[in-house]
Amino acid sequence: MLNKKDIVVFYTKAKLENDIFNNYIGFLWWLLDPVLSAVVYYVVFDLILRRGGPDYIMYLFVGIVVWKWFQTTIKSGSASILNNKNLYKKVYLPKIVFPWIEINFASFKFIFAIVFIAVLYPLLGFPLTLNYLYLPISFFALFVFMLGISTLLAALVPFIPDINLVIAHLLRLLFYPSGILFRPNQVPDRLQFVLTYNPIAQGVKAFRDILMYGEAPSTFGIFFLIGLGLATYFIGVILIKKFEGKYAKLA
Amino acid sequence: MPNLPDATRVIDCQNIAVYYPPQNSIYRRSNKEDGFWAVRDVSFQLNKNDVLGLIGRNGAGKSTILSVVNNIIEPDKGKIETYGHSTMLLSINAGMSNKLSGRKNIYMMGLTLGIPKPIIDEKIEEIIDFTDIRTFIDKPVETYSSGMKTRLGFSTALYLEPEIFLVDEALGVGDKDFRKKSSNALHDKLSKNSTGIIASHNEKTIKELCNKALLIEEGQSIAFGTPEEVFKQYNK
Repeated sequence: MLNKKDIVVFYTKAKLENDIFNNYIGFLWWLLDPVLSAVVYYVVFDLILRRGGPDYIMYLFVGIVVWKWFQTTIKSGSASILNNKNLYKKVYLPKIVFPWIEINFASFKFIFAIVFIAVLYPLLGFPLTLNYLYLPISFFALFVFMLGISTLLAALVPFIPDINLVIAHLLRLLFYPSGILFRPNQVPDRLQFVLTYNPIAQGVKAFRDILMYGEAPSTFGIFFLIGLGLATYFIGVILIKKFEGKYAKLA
Repeated sequence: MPNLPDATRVIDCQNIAVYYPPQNSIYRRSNKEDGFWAVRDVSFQLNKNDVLGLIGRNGAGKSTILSVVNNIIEPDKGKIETYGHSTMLLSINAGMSNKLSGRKNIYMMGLTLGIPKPIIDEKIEEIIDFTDIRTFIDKPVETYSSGMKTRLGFSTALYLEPEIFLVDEALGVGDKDFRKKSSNALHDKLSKNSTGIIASHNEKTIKELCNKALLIEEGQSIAFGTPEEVFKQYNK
């Protein structure tokens, strides 16, 4: 019988190989891309606006690496079923494989960058503590969260392609109040709840707590992400099952 | 006893109907009538080694029927049962991923048929030989001409041997040499021990390859029988 796992693994590997060999410097972009983004924000917020604070570029870099992972997964994951319509109109493929392929692809790149940070930061003097053991847990929490959101969106986007356009704006709405560019203590107390309930702020904070401050991530944050992820994944899977034989009929 | 599923039954298609809903938009008030019943009422049964010719004009619903048998579209009415047999569609641009190389697409097609990787490993050289495009096999499929894609899709499906072949006008494509080679190969496979459905307008192809034929008009079965009988009605 059809093995979904084999298909996901094969496709993810093929996508990664494409990514490595299609550019001149290949996988070095997985690091260079967040580095360049961090440099741009550094110039604007630290050199020009003087709002950076100590170790701002290091602070930015962790945030951006987590953010890029989140952004690519949600963007490509939510469009994944729609974008593969030429494929599943001709061969039977269980649609659930498409969001999985996108999240695995983006996660692999993320792991590459986060391992780089985990090796580099202690060398720069940031604390290397036993709390590093929380890295896989934080990874898992964000992974589940992104998987849930992108599966649910992927199930709906083929019926209402307009969602794709809304997603770009929603992502921006999540980006600015996420503490990627600024420090949580720069936010007034009455607005702190925005950081608490912004899932991506929780994700970014978890990785910074571990990698920059040698602290354990907040338990609330971890469970908040996993809870949201499981709930949305569950609904997404039910919808995809329900619509499995209908997607190929959509234009 | 009619309609009792026996061990040799491969496809049982009962009164299927497929409805394409209208595209919704706030600028276009759409009601039920804007949709389209591509298939209204089609039934047929195939046993092992049967090859069915689907005959009908353009837009009669032939391709939709193939999609239903191929498990790509779920019928809105009626029932389709393939008893767990693997199916694969042979057609122009048969479901390939453009960014991936020809070789990777062969693996993909194999995996979607539920064939484990080691078995594809064994067959892949044979497949590439049959395609005659070995020099391009590691280039992305988006760089292929449509003839090359057809060669790749056809050769792969042929050698991976799905239990049910679904052919959508694929016999008339490619250059003359490949057309001849592929039609001979398909002939071999189908005459040996495979089941299949071929959608075509070509009377000669159907009479050569099929032992049963089904005439479709506006999504409805009109006649079912031997190709000779059915073509008599079609040509009236």
